[in-house]
Amino acid sequence: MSRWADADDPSLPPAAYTSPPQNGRQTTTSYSVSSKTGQKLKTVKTVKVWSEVRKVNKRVKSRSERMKRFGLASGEEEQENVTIQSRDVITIEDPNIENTGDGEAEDPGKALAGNLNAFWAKQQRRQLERKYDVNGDPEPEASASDGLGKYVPPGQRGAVSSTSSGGGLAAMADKIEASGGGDKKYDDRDANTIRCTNISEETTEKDLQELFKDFGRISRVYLAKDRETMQSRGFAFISFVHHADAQNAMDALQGYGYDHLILKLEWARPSGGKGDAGGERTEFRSGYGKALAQDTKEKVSFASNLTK
Amino acid sequence: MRPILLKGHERSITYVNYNYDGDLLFTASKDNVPTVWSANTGERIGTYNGHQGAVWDLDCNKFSTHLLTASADATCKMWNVETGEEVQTFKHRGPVRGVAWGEGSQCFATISDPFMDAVAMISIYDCPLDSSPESWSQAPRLEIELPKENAVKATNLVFLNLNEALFVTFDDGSIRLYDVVNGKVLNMITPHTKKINNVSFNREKTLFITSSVDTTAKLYDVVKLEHLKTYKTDRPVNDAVISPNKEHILLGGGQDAMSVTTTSGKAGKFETKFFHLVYETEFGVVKGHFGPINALAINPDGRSYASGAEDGYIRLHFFDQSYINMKDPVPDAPTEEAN
Repeated sequence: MSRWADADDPSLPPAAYTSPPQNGRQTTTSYSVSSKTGQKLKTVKTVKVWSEVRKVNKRVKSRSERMKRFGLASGEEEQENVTIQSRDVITIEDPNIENTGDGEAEDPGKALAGNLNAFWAKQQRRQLERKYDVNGDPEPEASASDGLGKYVPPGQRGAVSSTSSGGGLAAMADKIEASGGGDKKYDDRDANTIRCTNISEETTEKDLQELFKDFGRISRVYLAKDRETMQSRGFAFISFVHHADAQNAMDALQGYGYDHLILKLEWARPSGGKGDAGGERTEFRSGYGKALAQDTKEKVSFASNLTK
Repeated sequence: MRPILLKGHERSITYVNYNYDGDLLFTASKDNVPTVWSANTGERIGTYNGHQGAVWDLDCNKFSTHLLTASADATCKMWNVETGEEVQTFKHRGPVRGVAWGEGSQCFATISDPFMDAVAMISIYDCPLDSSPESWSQAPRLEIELPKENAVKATNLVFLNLNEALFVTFDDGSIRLYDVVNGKVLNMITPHTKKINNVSFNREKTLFITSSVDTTAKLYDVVKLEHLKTYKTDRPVNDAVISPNKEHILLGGGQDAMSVTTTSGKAGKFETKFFHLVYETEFGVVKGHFGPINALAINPDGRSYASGAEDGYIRLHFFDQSYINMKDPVPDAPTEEAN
């Protein structure tokens, strides 16, 4: 028996539309009229869809086919009141906080916080290094006056300070290209970063760490993942502390067969044109989603205008 | 992991266990209705209706055909697992505290508490499953009276050594092994100073772990009854289980139900604790319950575990891949240089 208000409203589109599953998700769109305000509501529900193959023994399978609901469970149509999935994610927490190396509490939020902390610590250290002239730069103040009023990317600040002629950033970039990174030691981690593509989806950051750690100290491994599905997008960045190590890794692992695919390595920021560099940049950022990637592209092109 | 909450019971959970194949989860509660759930999805499959009192213990046989339940209404009932029909009722003189199938599912034993002038008793029944239930004798094959003088109560029992011995834990912290033919005490050890709440064996029945109100759980060798390890906590331990495929121990506990209302959930220590079996170190904690955990069970495949608590909830946890892949931490090793 239905109340008159429940009758189908002819002005509404068909009850529900479920799209075919795409990228592991499926959206259901339904329309309804709010009983309170009378407004038409469009409800879009996105559901994660995946299939899982599980091996069960014959006895279990035949039992699951045989068994019918009985007792109090027989009458119930919806199980929602009885069996519910917890809303919050429960992790196995570590009771001894100082001993965090268990690989146990892999809370993404926590990991992110840790990364951020590490990032800020690094920023601070760099600032101090610049201030106290740790790299042996002759006159850090000069670099400051050089870049007066202009934004200098952190990666190029060291180079600026080491060149005595303040000929603008384009000149700096040329200088960096000329030096080729062989004889010059700059603490720019992007210059020691390898862009590794054609990685299989199952590869994790840990695997990459394992793969690359033999060549020298790694400062960072970044595996690009889809923001929604958290699946690997098939490329990663590996930053080494020393450029020579990165070069070694590049030579050794170029075309290396890893997990049924052939790795392709290249420098994260090739020493080609600046436009290229911008392109790389955007791709690097695109892990955060499309809208943001376009944003950064604009920003980067804006920044490259500045340097001209 | 996002646990599944099973809310079918209206009162506190007394016992949870998986069947041998690991596809069904049986739960007993003080609300008289033992329940069976799907261990993979958490769906309620059925309830076994008929008891008049709290259900303290249950045991499913190895082929998952028959279920025994022990209830405070002084009966032990046998059920058809798949249909929920009652097969037979075995009347006792006091509340039935524990029940256990013998190996081969041809006999079972129960513990009953003292009531009025009836003394605490261990009873062994024969129930050849290939014959009709009407032909079974309602009287136990053997009754073992428990010592009256210091009023000890049995808490758990398990058949050992191919049904030649009956392993019984007591509330004075002792464990006795009884001969199933003449009822004599074969062996006795006293691992704990206070009540033993629960005992659980590994799948091969080579190790057992006792959990006690004296805040420890102890691991023993079954053959020699030799003490191997002690897991110390800061709370009464209600249940402990041995992981089937990792060298881990899961401990559940909390304050006794009486003092729960006077403490906050945070201070209540209602977590499941993870200990390393060999090193005796605690390395993990899983929170979630609002009352002391009364019962724990780990799936025979080692990928999920269920905990039932005084708050009436059963939480079904499926381990993350990171736990399943995890290598065991080694304590007191020189700490690695941070890179």
